[in-house]
Amino acid sequence: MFIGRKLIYVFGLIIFIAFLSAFQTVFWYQTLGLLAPPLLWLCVINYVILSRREPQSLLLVYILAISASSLSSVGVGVFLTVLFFYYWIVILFKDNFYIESLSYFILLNLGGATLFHLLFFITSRLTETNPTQILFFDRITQILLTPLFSIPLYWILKKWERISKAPEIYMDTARYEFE
Amino acid sequence: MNFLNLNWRKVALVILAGLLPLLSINMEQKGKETDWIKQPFQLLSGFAEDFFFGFTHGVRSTTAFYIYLLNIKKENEDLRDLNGRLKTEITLYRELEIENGRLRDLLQFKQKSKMEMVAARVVGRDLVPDYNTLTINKGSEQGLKKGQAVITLKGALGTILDVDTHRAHVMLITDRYSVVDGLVERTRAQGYVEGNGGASSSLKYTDRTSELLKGDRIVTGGLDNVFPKGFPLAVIEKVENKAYSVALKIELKPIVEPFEVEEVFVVVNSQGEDFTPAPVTTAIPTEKSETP
Repeated sequence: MFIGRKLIYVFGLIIFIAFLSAFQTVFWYQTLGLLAPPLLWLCVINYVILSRREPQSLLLVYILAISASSLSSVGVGVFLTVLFFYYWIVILFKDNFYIESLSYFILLNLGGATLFHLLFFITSRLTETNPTQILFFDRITQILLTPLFSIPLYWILKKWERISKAPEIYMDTARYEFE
Repeated sequence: MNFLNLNWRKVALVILAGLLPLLSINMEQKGKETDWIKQPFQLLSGFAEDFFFGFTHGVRSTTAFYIYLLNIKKENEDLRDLNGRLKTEITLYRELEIENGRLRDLLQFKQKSKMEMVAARVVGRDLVPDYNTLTINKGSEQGLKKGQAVITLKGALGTILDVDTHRAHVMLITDRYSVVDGLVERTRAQGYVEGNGGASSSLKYTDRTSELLKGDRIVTGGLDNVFPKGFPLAVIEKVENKAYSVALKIELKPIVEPFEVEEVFVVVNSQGEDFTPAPVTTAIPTEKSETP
């Protein structure tokens, strides 16, 4: 029964991240054109890292990342490599400094967006034959917009966790409920 | 009864009261226009009448004005609503007109060209800004394959990077992995147009002896068998001739602004189409030609 609820939760997250990615690549592009969109999918990844147990949640992060990357020409290998390092850095940060609040989530998304771009840039420089460019304005816009858009997403994700009755780590009480 | 005990004041009042009608009748019979006794009352009632007339008129006007305002408010709301709808319709018609014009041009281009093409709409851009790709709404179901050229009426846009059943990713010529065979239209100098990952691209491996100028147009060379020959690609922005380099360093600006494109053509089969303009030849006068 519990596994069934978990599966529903995961399935809902996959649909949600696909929806967010489509919003980011299609709706944002069609309405706001060249303005770089916020990394909405990264907010979901961050929420998963915060609210699920590690290292099992890494698998969920991978599933969500693959779902999001279907709307990009980014190689899955590069994407997952970046997210692997991203995941452990966020976990390290969470283990040392954690406050249950929306402000923390916003802060994490601000830092997370910066970290993601930094890791992507480094990975691209190290692994790709034609590495990526600095793209300063696009990256800065995304870093600034992502925490702003994480506010409604936090509420939605929390609501979904309650609706699907699949909480793993109660973010507002004890950290590990089932341990 | 004591007659002398009469209240003479009352008696006088009664007599006066009796006399007044008589006097009044007498006055009326004399044919005066206004009864003298009524005059002060008429003055007073006149004021009162005027006051109430004014008041009633005021109330009626105010009420009428209020009702009028209510009606106006409703009418205003209706008109605003109508205005909003009409504005939306006008915007829609303008959009349709522009779209119609664009589609007409696309159709004419398709009819004139001998290339086999599939028209598609741009639906989105890449999730990660590090990749210059666009998503179009046609896929393998419509005959699209990896590597096919994607063009617009103005110039080349990119190539198909990967294909799903009903959509495909287009790698733009500005993407850092894009390489297209190019040709300087004026001098016929050859090179490769490589994307820089940002908004520009470069022409590489061009002989440093070539005399290139800012504004020279780069067209497709046609050697890659992807793009039709002579199709516009980019314009030279900057030329650098470095002493230690064997080739010129040329910065290009794509002719097509990729993120403003709405409709594209995917070249399924270019059928050897050549857009190179025919050379201008001057007529050689023959013996038969008449001279004035």
